[in-house]
Amino acid sequence: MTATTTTPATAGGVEIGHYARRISENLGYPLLGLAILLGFWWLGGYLIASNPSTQAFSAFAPESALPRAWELLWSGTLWDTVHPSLSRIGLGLFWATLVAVPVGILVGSLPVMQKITSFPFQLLRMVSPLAWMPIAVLAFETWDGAIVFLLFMASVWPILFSTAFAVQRIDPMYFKVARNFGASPLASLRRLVIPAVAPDILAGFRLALGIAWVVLVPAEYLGVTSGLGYAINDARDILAYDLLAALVLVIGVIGYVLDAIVVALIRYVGWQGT
Amino acid sequence: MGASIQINGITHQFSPKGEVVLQDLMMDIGAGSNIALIGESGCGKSTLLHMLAGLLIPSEGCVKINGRQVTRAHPEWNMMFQRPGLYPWLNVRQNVALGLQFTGQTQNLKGRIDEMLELVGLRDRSEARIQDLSGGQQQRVALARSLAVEPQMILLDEPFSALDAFTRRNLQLEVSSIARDKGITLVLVTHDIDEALNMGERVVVMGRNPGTFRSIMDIDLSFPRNPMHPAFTEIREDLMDRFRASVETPADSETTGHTSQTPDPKEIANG
Repeated sequence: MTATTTTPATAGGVEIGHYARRISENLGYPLLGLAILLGFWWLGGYLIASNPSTQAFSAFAPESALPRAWELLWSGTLWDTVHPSLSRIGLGLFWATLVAVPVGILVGSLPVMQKITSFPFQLLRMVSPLAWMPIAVLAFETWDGAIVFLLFMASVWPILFSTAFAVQRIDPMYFKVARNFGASPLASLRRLVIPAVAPDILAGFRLALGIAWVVLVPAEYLGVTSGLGYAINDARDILAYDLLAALVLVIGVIGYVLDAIVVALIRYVGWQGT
Repeated sequence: MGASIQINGITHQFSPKGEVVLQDLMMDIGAGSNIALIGESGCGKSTLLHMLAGLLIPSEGCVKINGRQVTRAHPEWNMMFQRPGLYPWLNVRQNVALGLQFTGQTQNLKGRIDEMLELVGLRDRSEARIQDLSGGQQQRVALARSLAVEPQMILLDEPFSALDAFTRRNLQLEVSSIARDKGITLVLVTHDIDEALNMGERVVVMGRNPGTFRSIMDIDLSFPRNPMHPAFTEIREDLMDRFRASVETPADSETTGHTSQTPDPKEIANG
């Protein structure tokens, strides 16, 4: 019979292997994905540059766009471009949340509300947010107001539907416990409904943020003279394709960071599936 | 101080033309006493318990607690359910605080919660997540939550039925002992005759179609009760006979159970 023991050296080896695997999973794979993306970008740039009919757009390639993005970052002009966009998206999401959460709670709590609102809400949800553009221009005095409205229309539905669905899924036992202790409707809302649906509200918010961020650029083509959408339009007009590609990169990075913040928030308030 | 309960001629239908689920129930339960309700499924035990808690209003008759008619739920007579119903987004301490917070009793909250956690033996798990507790520990948290509001009565709707035999037995002894120490009136609904005998000073057997009190038996054994004791076994047999009779005999051939707070000793002996 052979007895096997784990020596400290072996244990250390196992530990190093474990950390190496964790690093490769957490960092290695995303970096590999990024490298593949850069490879495609570089290939696209090469193909554009090597074709005489598209050669004028060769500044799209990473070798021109990345230094331009770097310059944009350190010149201090990037914040002037990004700030108005972030303000608009913040306002759009703020109003959408303010409307969608209470309406979602009502729709989820009262079956009659669900029956009344189901058809009109589904119908409105299917309308592209950009289709509201002419109405927004007519209804709002400022271009900024119109853009915030478009972002609101893009964001309100995911938050509203995920809130309503989450309220419907609350375990009836939780309400029974609240009633059992003579909880008032307000106390039930504060201590039961809102905490129970918070992760779903944030999941809807995450979806809304993604849609609103996509809608933001075309919405900022609308009359305004600031923001990422305007900057992209402007770069195209002045044929600054390196700047245009750098701005596309900035939009992607900011979108990713905003999404990561919401994911962290979801993890913070999350209790489901644990 | 425990609550005294009067069940005054309760008859109940869930809809006006629906089946009569409870018929003409009458009973007085003295302050601080422990009552166990047993009966086969569908006899209306849980329905009656919900009425005592104020979570359901009877079609006819009424429940009076300390002489006042029950029209709504009240934290001083709260219920423990088969599932503990703990909120998974709150930790142990926050769940224990829930009843107090729902009723706005937030003075000396920390001290009160610590006291309750000590009482149910979970002081060292106060910051634990609910998901990390065993079924028995979760029911202890539910018990602490119920006790925190200083109830006069606790209504137990088969709260131990999902637990293993060992944990169930421990919790039966603990709940029953805490209730006796604090003078809390305890009404237990169970399918388990041993549980009824472990916890109840009086056991009420209910029959179904419609739900009526078929038999009331006072258990003259001291606490904590030993299921291996010959007297316990004898009473269990007697109760089993009554239970069987309640299942086999139609409701209209029986007299509706009605007893005073102190039943006739002959009635206890003879059933």
